Amino acid sequence: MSTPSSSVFSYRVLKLKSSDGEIFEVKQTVAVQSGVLKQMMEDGCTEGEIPLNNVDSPTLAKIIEWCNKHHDDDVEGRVLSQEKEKEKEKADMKRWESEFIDALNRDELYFLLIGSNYMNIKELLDCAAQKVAGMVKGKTPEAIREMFNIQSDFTEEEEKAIRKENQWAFN
Amino acid sequence: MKLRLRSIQSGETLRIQIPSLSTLQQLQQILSQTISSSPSSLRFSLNRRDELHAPSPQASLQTLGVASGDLIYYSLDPTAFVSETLVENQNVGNIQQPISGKADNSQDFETPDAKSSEQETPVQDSEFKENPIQETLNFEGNQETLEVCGMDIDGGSVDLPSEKSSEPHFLRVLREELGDDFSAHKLLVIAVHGILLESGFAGFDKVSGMRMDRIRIPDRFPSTNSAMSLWYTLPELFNNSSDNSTECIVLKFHCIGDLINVYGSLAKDDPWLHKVFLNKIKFAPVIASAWADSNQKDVVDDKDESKKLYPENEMFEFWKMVKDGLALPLLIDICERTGLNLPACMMRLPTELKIKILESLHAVDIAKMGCVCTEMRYLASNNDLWKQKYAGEFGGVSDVEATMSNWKRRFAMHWDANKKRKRIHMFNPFAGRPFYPPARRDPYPFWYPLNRDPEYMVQEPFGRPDRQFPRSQGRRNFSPICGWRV
Repeated sequence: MSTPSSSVFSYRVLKLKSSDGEIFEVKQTVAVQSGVLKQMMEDGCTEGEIPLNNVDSPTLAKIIEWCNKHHDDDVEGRVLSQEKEKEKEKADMKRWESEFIDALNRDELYFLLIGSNYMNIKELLDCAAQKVAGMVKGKTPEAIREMFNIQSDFTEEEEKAIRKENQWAFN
Repeated sequence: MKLRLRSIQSGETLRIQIPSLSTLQQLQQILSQTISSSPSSLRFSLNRRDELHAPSPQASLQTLGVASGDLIYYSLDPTAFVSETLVENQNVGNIQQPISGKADNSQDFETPDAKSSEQETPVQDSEFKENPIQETLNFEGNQETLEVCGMDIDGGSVDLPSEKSSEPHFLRVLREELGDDFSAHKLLVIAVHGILLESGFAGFDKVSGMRMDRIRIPDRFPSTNSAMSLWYTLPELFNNSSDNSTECIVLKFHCIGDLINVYGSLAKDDPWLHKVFLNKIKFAPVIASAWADSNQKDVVDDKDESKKLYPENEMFEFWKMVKDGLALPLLIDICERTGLNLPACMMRLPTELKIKILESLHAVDIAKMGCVCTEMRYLASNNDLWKQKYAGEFGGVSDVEATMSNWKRRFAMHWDANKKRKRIHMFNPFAGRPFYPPARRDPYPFWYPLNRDPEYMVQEPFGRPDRQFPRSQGRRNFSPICGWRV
C-alpha cells in the first residue's frame, strides 16, 4: 500500500461489516489496535467492506467504542506534557474501562470475548477475561454453576472424589 | 519408544526403552542382552501367534506397526510362532495368518521380573497397525484373534469408574468402543466420536431415526481414500423423530495420505462448514498409548500420575482441535437451528479463552472451577497451568522437576503445608522464627564515664591507630565534644 504521508494515512477510514450486515466506519489509526485489521492494512487488502463474520453489530459497536477511547491521540499532535497528567489520564482510563466492562450483561460479555479474540485486540480481551475471572473469584463450585448456568455432569461418586481431591482449596 | 515384552513361556514381562527408529534386529539384540540368550533364537509376535517379520533389515519397528507402549510377545523357541507366509508382498512388513495352531491358551501369570524388578499388571493387548492389508488379514482372522487375545484381557480393566483428573473423558469412550484390534484410522474416528459424545451429542442412525449408543465402525474402515459418515443429534431432539425429520449433524471422515479430514455440518445444510485435519502419524500413537496407559492404570492404583507414558500436551492438542473445530460450533449450530437453549455461555467459549480465564484466576479458584463439570475439570487440571501457578506462588521451578511432576498435586501439598504453618503461628507467635542470640548493647547508651584527658579528646576524632581501645569504648568516637567544654 502506498502511504504518501502519515496524515493521509491516519485519516483513512476502514469499512467494517458485522455479521448481520451493518457497516461501521473506523479510522485506520483506531483500527490498528486490532491485530487482524493491522495485518490487513500491512498487506494492503482493506479496500471495500471488511466482513467480520464472528462479530454482530452490537458487539462491534462496543469494540469500536473501546478502540476509540484507547486510540493513541499522540499521532495528531496532542502531547501529554506532565507526568502527573499522564498518571491522571491512566487512572481515568482504568475507571472508564471498569465501567465499560461492568455495564455489560453476561451475553454481551461473552460476545465481546469472542469478538475481541477474533479481531485480536489484546487489551480488550485481557480486560474481559479479567472480568470473568473476577466473577468467579471466591465462589464455590455450586455458585459458579448457578452464575453461569452450567449443569453438573458428574455422578455422585465422581463429585465426591473430586471434592476430596480439591479439599485443600476449600478450607 | 517404550515397549513391553512378554515371554510366551513364562509370562514374565519386561519393560524396555529403545530408540524410536530401532529395527527388529536391534530389538533382538537388546532383549538378548537383557535375558542373556542368543539373539538368533528370539522370535517376536504382536498377537502371540504370528511371527513378526521385517521386510528388510533396515525397516524400523514403527513401519511394522509397533507403537510406543505396545505389548510384544517373545519366545526363545524359534518355532513358537507361525512364520509361514501366504502373501508375498514387499510392502507388507508383518504378514499375519489366520491359523490358530500354536495358540497358547495358558493364562498369563504376572511375576515380578528379576531383571527389571518392576511390577507389571495384566494389560490388554494393544496392537497398533497402520497397514490396510494387515487390517484385511486381521479382519479375516478376527474370530480367532479375539479368541486368543481374549485370554489376555483383564476382566476388570474395562469401564471402571475410577478416572484420572487429567484424563480426557473420551478415553473412557475409547475403552468402551475399541476392541483389542484396531487401526490408526479407527482409533482416531472413535476418539473424535468420544469428544462428540462428551460434548452432549448422541449417536444417531440416519435410516431408522433411532438413537445409537455405540457406533459400528466396520473393522476395515476407512481404508485409504474412502469416506465414511456418522450422524449425531442431541438427546432432546429424539422425541419428535416420528416423521424422520430429526435435526441432526453429520461428520464425514475422509482419509488422504496421513491426514484424516473430518468435515462437519448440519445434515440439512450443504456446505461443510467446519473442518478439522487430523494427522494420523502425530496423534494415533499418542492416543493409542494413552489408551493402553489408562487401561493399565485402572488396575494399578494410580499413586503416581506423573509417570504417564503419553505426552499430555499432544492429547490436549487433539482434544482442543476437535472440540473447537467441530464439536462446539456444531453444537451451537444445531441449538440455533432447533431453538434449543444454547449451552452456558462460559462453556461455549473456545478452549483458548477458557484457558485464558483460568490462567488469570488464583490457584484456589482454579481448583474450584475444576469441580464444576467434566470439561472444566479436564481444563483445570492441565499440568502446564499448575506449573505456572506453582512457580507464581512458591517460586522457581528447576529444569529437572519441570518435566516430571504432577504440579497440581505438588501445589496442593505445598499449600496445605503452608497453611499448617500459619495456623501454628496463630497460637504461638514465636513458633517458627529463627533464634537470634541477644544483641550485645552498650550498657550506657546515653551516658559514659568522661575521660578528661585533653590530648585524647583532641586527637580522638581523627583517629589514633597506634592506640588500641577496648571494643566497648567504641562509642566515644561519636560524642567527645560533650565532654570537651565541661
